[in-house]
Amino acid sequence: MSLNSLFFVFLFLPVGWLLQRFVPEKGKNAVLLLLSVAFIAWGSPRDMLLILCSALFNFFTALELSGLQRRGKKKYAAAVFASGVVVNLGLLLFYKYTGFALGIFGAAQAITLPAAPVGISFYTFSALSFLTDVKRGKAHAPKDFIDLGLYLTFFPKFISGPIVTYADFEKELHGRGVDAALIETGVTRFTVGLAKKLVLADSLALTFTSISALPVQSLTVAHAWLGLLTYAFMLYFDFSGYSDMAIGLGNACGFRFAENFNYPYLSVSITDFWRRWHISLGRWFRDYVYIPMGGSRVGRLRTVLNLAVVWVLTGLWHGANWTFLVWGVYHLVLLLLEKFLFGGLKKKLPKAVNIILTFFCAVLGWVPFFSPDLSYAGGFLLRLIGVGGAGVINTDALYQLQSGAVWLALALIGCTPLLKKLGDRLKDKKAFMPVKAVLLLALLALCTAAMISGTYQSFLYAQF
Amino acid sequence: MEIFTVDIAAEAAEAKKAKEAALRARLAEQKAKTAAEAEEAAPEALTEPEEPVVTVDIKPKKTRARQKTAGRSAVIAGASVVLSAALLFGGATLAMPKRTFSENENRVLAAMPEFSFSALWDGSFRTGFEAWFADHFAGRDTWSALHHTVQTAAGRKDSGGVYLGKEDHLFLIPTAPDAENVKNLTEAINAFTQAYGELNHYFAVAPNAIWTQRDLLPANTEAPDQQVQLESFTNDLENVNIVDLCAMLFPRRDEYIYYLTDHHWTTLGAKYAFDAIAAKMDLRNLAEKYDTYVVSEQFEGTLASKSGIHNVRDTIEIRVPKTDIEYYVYYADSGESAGSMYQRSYLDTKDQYAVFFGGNHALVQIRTTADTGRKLLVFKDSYANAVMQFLYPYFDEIIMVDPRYYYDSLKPVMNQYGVTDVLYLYNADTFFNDTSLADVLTEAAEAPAEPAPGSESVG
Repeated sequence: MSLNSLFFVFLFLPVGWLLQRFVPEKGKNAVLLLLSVAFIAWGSPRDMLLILCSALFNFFTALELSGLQRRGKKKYAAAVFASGVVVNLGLLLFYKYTGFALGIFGAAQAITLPAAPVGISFYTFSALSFLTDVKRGKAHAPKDFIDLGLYLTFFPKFISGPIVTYADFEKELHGRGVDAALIETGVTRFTVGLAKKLVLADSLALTFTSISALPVQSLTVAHAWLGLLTYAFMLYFDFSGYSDMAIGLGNACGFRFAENFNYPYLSVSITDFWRRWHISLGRWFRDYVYIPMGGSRVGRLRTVLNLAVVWVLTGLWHGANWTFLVWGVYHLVLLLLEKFLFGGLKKKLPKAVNIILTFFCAVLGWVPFFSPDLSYAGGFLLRLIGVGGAGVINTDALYQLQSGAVWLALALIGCTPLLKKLGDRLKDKKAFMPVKAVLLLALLALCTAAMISGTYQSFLYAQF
Repeated sequence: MEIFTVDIAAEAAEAKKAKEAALRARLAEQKAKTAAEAEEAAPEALTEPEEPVVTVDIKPKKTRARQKTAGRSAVIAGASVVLSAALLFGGATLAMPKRTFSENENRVLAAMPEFSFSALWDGSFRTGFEAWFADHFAGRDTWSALHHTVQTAAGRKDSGGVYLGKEDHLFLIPTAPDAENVKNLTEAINAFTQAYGELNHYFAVAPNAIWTQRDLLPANTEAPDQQVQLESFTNDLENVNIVDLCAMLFPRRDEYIYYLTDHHWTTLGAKYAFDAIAAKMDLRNLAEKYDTYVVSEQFEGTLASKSGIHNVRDTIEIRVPKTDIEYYVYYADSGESAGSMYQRSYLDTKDQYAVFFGGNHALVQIRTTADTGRKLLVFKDSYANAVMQFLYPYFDEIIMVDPRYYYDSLKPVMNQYGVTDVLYLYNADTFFNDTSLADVLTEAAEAPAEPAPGSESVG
């Protein structure tokens, strides 16, 4: 079940929220865990069993780990920790990368693989964060399974993050205290996120899908650029919208999660971009891969190697395909250039120029990201500079532009903090309350219309 | 990652110097930040220290939120309305009486799936329930209309494979002709013509509204050049009389020759097509007068359903020639006969174009008292259905074969009926993409049947 389905918004959410709201403080986490398990089971009972087994495994592993550490048995503790990591990673590798690995050896069709459980990438990273935090003493091994179960399955973040570290989540588990203002912030945030996804991103997607449906040879320069920009904004509003929904729902249940996006298209460098785009993932790789490997405190060569490992993994985390690997390596190269070559030059440039340059570089990276394969990516890149393809512009490109222009303009405004600042300025004014309520209802109505239209289908029994 | 360090700093500042002024806290933050960085130089590589202007305000926002306490009911205005609306519409959807059929979407709506543990396990209960919930969602048609209003207002002029043209015209975006199928069709028609060389063969394939009325297409959209497609097709046909419907319909494009909301031509469009066919077939003593009846002013066709745009209604009229010639219709698939080709009961359904013959059938015979000595075999799609009201007075018998539903051999038909004329009556979109016609023709051409005794070629 996704957070932007009719069933979720109009049944699961209101009923679930009321349920947890009016359960006494003591039972809240248990109810939330039950809701989360139901959420996963509704999507796939098989996934739910798998996740529960894995969660139990992690629970006992952590108990054992902390017990051994308390008794000073470091070697055994390390072994237990390693086995935990292996099991968690093994699950991810099996479900997500077996097909890719077999493909490399030309045996992709050898066996039919079971479908990967929804959210497995996010789940695994949460589990690894948990075991590591316990091992490092940053968090306690929970005595109550509800604590860990809720952390691993909490429905707002289960499918698409953000990836909250266990150390952070632990602080919210007990005595988090919900107040009206937080609920208000949360529901507002959820509604805005829903609209970002369903109204803005999905409208942009119409343009992107029509363009990507064309054979790459028949794209004009205008098609390529329009497609690229549309995708860049679509991806941002889709993903950051989803993060808003998750963070907002968390708020509505009293949880405070760190931000996952911070106006990434206004970054002044690629380094900056990665502090603002999918922040929780970058943070995870930093804390659990990069720093343990020595970070940048080792020699220059080792630093480069460490960075390379992080970016290859980041690329592959997004999908088991060469295209994602290329995308990761592309960012690695940009970061290295920035770090070792152009850092000084960049500082001399005006901020606006840096923003535009960074935007351009980041957006160009989406080409391999959205391409089904590398040959499409290559063709698309050539179209961008007018090599091959169907010329500079044609009527279809104009049609796509006129269909998508309004949404692109809205996206341009939406990727800056303008509206947010306006909202923050108004939000404490009493007179704004009714206006805000009406605005939120209007957004919800637009979202409902979009969700309904997604299920619209006509049946043409009368052929020609 | 900058955020991370700032977060720690802010929390440290909160704990230690809760009572300090904001300025001092900020200073402490900066201090703590530098300290944290010095201590843990690692993040540098991934995150160079840069002005954390935007990131800093994340924490203070939360701090502000925490300062507010419960009980300020005005504050939760937004949350209340959103959650109430969700509860209201969710509840209404469950509680309201259910429709079984959607006129707008022209389909039966999903029924509540039967619960079983196996259905729950394999996910079919979930998909079934979600389909049911969506299909019966309170105000479904209104929501859909709202969506289209928004999308159209924002400049999108297509929906569900349909262009939203000017003056409320909806145009089906045709499928590009399949080259392989076009080749097969050419060969099949030529083989059939050769096998039945003593008959008169006529080819009348109509351009679609998107070509004829292309002036009304949205800006920057193009119609496929169906005239060129048809000409290049007919150039390869041998011994077939070509009826140029493009030339007939295009000059009359400003008239009501295609429905606005449906992919068919109107009775007027069919009449013009008949005029062109009649001229080519050299039909004599044409009826000059018709009784015209408007049978529906509430027709909403397939294009409205496909696109979700329900702005206008069409008018269906029928034209009955003023003639003494009588006819009856025999439907081979059901074995039923009728004294009229019009089936008024279909005017009460969604698919009102089926007023002609009740839609498409594998084989329909129209027997008349015309006594002209000509018998017509029509290979057709539904465009032909509206033309028959004009054609019947000139033939002793008309046999309509819709190859899409006709699975038998055509040889008995060729043997028994004494056909004198053959007509291909289609619209271009269906014609170029339908594979069944070539199959039927090829089979019939393989070993040509002997012409039935008594049938003579006329004309």
